[in-house]
Amino acid sequence: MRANVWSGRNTVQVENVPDPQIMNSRDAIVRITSTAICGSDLHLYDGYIPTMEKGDILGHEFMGEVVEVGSGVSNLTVGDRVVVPFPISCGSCNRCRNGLFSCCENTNPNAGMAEKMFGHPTAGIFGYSHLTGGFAGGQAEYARVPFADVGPIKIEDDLADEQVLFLSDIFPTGYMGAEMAEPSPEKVIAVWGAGPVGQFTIASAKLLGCEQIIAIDRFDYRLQMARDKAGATATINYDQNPDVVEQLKEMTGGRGPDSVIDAVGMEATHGHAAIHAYDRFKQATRMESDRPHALREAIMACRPGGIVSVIGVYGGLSDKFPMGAFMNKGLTMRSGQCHVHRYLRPLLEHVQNGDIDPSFVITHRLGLDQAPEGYETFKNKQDDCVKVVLKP
Amino acid sequence: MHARVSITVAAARDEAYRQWRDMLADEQSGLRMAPVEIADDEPPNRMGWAFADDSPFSGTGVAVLAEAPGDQGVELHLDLEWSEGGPVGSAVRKLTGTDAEQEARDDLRRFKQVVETGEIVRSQGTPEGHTATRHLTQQPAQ
Repeated sequence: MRANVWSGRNTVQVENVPDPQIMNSRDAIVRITSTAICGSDLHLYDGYIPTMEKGDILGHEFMGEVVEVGSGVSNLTVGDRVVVPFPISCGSCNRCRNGLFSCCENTNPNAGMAEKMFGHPTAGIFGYSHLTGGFAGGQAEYARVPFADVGPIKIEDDLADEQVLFLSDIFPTGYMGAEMAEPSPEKVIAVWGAGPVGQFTIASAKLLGCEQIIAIDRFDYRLQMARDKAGATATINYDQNPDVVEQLKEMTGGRGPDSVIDAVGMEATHGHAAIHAYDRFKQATRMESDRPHALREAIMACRPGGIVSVIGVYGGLSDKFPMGAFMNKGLTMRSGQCHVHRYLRPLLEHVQNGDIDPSFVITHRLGLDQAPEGYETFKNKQDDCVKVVLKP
Repeated sequence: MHARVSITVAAARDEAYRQWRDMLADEQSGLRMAPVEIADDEPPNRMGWAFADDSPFSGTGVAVLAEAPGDQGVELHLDLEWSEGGPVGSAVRKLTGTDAEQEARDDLRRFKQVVETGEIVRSQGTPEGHTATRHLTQQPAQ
């Protein structure tokens, strides 16, 4: 089959690779009809996530048709149309039973590696380094889906792929980010990052009843999408005025936002060139793994007693974390890779009810063979790119 | 050498005891320390055994099972004693993931997977399931 594989820093290529096989009885094989490039794939592309191997198939946002099931899968049959959540979860360990699907204790066959990095292992993830299990991803014609009796959701109506594909990751991720921020009509929520996850965070905050949502980014076209499509009520372009904390105070009568959401993660930029250069240098020389500009700013901006919700991906260690501000203002931080399984059914219902059409983020539709071009366009924000969907 | 390792498994204590006992005695179970002959059997609380002379462990092992708080199942605590060459050999085994403590940790993860999910979980990068030695020699995930 054809698949998009990682070949080293800043290099992906579409190659012929062996077809996936059933390896466990609860596996299914899915013929992929739509797949997408995630912002977190860029962390792999840029070489900031360790434990990648040349030849790894990328991609953790995908959907398609079941073509084979293992002997332990009774809920799916050949021909079913499914969306596959990006974390692989067993459904029976203590973490899964408590709804913490992305912290599954059983699905990472390299749990020992993850334990050294994070203290505890986390769930396996498709196409996302060997630290998260060494599972082949979904930017391919076919994928093996472990625990197919737990993860995939069947799509039984005539919704288009583009309306349901993002249930695999970015819609639930944005929704969880908004939910952790405890939105309500009287609260002001500020969202750092108006990329695909940021757009869904804003749209979800609105779905959850928030009436004042401020989007922060450096690209006007993304801020325009946040206003026109996602539901942001105000925007800040930090490229034009880098003092985000002051602007947020001004917009909130000096209080600061009640909840702040980091939808950026480890490759943030800063409006002040010198501050950006400092962290960029430390990251390039591996003196820190993450550039936490957005998180630092969010903590500084949040009003005392407020909530910091972190859904942007971090990989390791951050420098100059403002612990003093965090502690003295009595903030609460909530975070996590999304527990996608929790949100599949309720968010599919929102799509079915017409409350939201997630396809609004798509700006580029390419064939699988054009994946390398898609990565470059997305990484460099060329051609007003927000979200790339690949069709195998 | 001496090591204590433990894991919590979402299962009833008597069920976990039975499965640990069965897997420990079965060469095909996927556990590195299998097969052993159980010498000291106190179901469902405690069992003890001696490893065969050609085992990488070549010493003794004790498993103690205790209820985990709340409804989290059972804690399995292993206490292992073994003799292991000189300090150089020991350091090399530690680096390559072949020392008895890491192999015991692999075994606990495999045991937990079998009890909770029914089988040892495999990926394209680690097709044989959790193995510390495989951390250094991952296969491409395809």
